[in-house]
Amino acid sequence: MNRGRLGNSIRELRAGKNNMTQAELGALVGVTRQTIIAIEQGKYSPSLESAFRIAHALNLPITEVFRYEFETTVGEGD
Amino acid sequence: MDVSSEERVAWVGVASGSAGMLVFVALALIHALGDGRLAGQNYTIPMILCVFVMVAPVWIVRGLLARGRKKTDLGPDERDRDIARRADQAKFQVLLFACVVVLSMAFTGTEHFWIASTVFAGLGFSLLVGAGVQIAGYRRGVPTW
Repeated sequence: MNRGRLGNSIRELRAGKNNMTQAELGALVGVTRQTIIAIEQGKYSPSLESAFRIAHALNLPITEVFRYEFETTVGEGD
Repeated sequence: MDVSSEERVAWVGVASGSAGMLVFVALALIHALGDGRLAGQNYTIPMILCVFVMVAPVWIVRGLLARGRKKTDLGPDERDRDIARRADQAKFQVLLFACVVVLSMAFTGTEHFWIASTVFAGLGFSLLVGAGVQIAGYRRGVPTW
């Protein structure tokens, strides 16, 4: 199985939204500010529903907010 | 440092769980110093009190946090529930192990004191392990999908 991690650009995208705060985004999404912090830091992968809510709050398609970063192993892709 | 209310409750659980277990061990040892036997003592009331020492602070703090929460504040969210579910799984494993040990003790006719103490220890360790898993979840993060 290809392993990887869920990456996101929430921090940068918030900055582009009149510096929307983590608390404001959390209120729009329905999660706490601490959860937004954890998601931004890659310490928590949100549910699919919350991921869509975050993208909706930022007025962007989900693929511009979240990306799956596959780990590349030696020999892969040769 | 930014700590969520659920993580605060987990820290209270660590403190109260440790305190309850330490108090019971201390009381049992002090009593044993008197007649030289651990198992012969009247342990029922101290054990029940220590169970309350372990669990009551968590209930109280959780209740106070819920009462102090404004109507606009969010309660536990999906991350809190996810971490709590992982903590519950860890607690269950500890309790399951304790159950197997207790059953074995019952089948072999072990004294009631040791059976009750094992149940008590299982409860205490399950609370500590659960709180530890919760704190690790908040501090180090939850494994990704």
